Amino acid sequence: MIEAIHLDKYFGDFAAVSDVTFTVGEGEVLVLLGPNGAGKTTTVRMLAGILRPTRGRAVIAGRDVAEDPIAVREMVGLLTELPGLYDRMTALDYLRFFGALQGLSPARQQERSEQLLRRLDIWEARRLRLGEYSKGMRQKIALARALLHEPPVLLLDEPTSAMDPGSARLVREEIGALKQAGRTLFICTHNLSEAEFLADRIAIIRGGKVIVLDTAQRLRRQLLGAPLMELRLRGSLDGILPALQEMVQVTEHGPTWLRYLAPEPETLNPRLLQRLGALGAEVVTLSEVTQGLEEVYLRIVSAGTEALSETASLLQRRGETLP
Amino acid sequence: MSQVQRALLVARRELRDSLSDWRIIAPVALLTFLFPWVVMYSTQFGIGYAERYDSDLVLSRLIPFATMVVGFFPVSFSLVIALESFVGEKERNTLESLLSTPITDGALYVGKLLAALTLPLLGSLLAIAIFCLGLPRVTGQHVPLDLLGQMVVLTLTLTLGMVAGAVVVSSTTTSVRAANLLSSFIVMPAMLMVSFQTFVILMEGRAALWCIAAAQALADLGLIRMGVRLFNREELLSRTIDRIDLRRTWRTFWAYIREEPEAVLTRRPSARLTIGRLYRRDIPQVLRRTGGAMVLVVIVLLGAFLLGVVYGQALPLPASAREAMVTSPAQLREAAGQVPSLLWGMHVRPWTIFVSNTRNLALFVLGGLISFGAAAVIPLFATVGVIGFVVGGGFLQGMDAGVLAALLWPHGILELPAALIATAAGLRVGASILAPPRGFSLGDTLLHGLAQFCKVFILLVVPLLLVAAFVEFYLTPQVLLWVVGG
Repeated sequence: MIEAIHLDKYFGDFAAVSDVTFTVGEGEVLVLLGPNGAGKTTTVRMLAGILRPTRGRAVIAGRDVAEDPIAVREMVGLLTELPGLYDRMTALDYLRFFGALQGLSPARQQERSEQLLRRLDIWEARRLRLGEYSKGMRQKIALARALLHEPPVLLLDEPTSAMDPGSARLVREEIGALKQAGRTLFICTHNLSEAEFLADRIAIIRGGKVIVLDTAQRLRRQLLGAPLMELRLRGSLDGILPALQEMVQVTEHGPTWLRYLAPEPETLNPRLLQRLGALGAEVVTLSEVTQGLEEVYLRIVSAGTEALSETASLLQRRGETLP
Repeated sequence: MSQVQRALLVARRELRDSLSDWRIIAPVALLTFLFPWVVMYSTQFGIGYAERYDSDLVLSRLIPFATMVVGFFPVSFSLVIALESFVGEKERNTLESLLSTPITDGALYVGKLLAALTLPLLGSLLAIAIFCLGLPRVTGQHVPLDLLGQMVVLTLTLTLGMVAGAVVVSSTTTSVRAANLLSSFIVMPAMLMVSFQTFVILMEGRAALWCIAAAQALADLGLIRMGVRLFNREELLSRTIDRIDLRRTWRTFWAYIREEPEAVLTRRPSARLTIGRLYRRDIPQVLRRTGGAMVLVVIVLLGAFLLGVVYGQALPLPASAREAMVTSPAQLREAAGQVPSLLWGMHVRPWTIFVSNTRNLALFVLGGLISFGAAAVIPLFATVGVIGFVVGGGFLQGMDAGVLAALLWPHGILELPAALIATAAGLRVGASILAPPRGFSLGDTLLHGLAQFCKVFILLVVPLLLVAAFVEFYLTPQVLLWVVGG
């Protein structure tokens, strides 16, 4: 549904985006992570048919963004980084205006506006001027604007920024529903837990280049190594530990617990549990010690240029990234 | 939905926005409904004063002036509305959501232009109507219909120019503050036009007001063309901060010098910079691109020459000047023989002639940068006009064609092409900002034009002017002597 092929964007001699390549399938959610100025917004603007790529091409639902930008803008719903609302308009007037620009009939404008305002829980405030709205409400209106014409592709730049937890959850649920409905979503965010929650795949961009692109789970494994498991027993480890150390690489342990690396948890953990059973040990819990996406992200974006290119080349040698 | 409908949607929304803002409505309403009465009673006072002297003389000037003032004040708000509409939207971050809809850049431009024009123009026309209807009651005088037509056209073209200029300013800035600072480039020419109109009215040259309206309409077209080119998504979203970066400016300028003109525009690599390449490739490319401007300059110069001839014949020189003219071969021999010594006596040297010609051409080209190239044509237009005037007047005095040719051609054969090339290149640079190439900002377009002008000026025009100066000093007098048989 979204195809970016060696996208470059130069402003004068400054390369804002450089050789970015990825695809997003129908009903898939790709989250783009990156620090400020990494090229996220420029990428979104190119995909939305607002900016022309300097080199390379981007295709949205079969339409080239440079050759057919109007058709692309009809098929894309864009939530901009800043809501940018007309403060003197009411929510209903605002949505009707954008509905008309998208070519919706007056009846459909009214119907969709009402639907979205109710779904996003701002129907009661529909007659207030947008200048009176809170930050979270403004963000919801901007999201409603992007969804108004039911586009098959949604480009969301920081969809839950400035929202209170309740509203953020509402929006995340809305995004989940859109995914279920088969919409293709491309989301830029700084919120790592949100990225992990929403994304089918995650791309990390830095200095205009996509450094890594994969599922959150695989990214963690690639960059942080084998998953770390924690085992807790009802009794003492005494007498059992040497036998376990023959099977796994124990990183640390206490009187009743231990942590070990599990390169292949799917095969290793059942074998380990069998062995424990045979040894007569009673298992209380066996769980993965979560090493968050934050660790992966920080490792990539805070790496120096050399370290970064080392990381990227290492991953590319292992054939584990797509860019 | 068509793009026209989208443009109207944008215009309607912006108009509603303006109408809900008392800071815009209050002054426009005051200037529309109250100001005409103030001017009417002022006119009545003026008429009472004039009746003590020569009422017809004053009336014929006072009423057109008052009508113009009544129409102009409400339209002055068009600038504020236009800046608010174009750059204000960019500053409030509302533009991107608009740009993400299927509206084209052109439709968005038209919609915003309509919105910025409608309110002030309606205010202005209504104010003129109130003035025209109220004046007979207050003063017993009428506004003639032809004057009314003139004032409406003048107001319309001036407003359009101000709004179109505001778009250009808005497209090159990122904040209302920066746009306000730059708006003096719109206010000052507008005030100059109004002052000029006042002068024309006071001189009772009402027919010339149509020429002013035509000139304003031409400038409007230029500004609209420029605005359409500049008001595009790329230009609007790529500019994030207004700052002077002299190093970048110099780097860009030098890159344009280093690269071949066409290679820059097509973003292809060019051959290494050498003097040979400049003469073989760069200068022919620049001259090719200047072809249209050169044809235009030749047409303008022919017009200047004919105008000079007509005036030379229509306005004969006074007797004292005619007596001073040298027309007989004997006088010419004597005068030509004196030329070098006369020039030496006046401290004129070939170098002086060269510096004067070069400086004048270069300065007017710089003036052309802020006048769409028009100023670049002035020195050659004036020179050729004066030659036409001399020819027109000279023939009346029985001047010989051979003598005239001997006076002009020896150095003119070098000087005229040099001036023609410089003028056409200058016109091209100034006019290039009307339609910047795709992907080029206004600044980059000017830098590119200037770089190409520098190549032609330094490598072609300056050597020609240098040789022409020596020819003019040493050879022209000798040729003249030879022609008149000295």
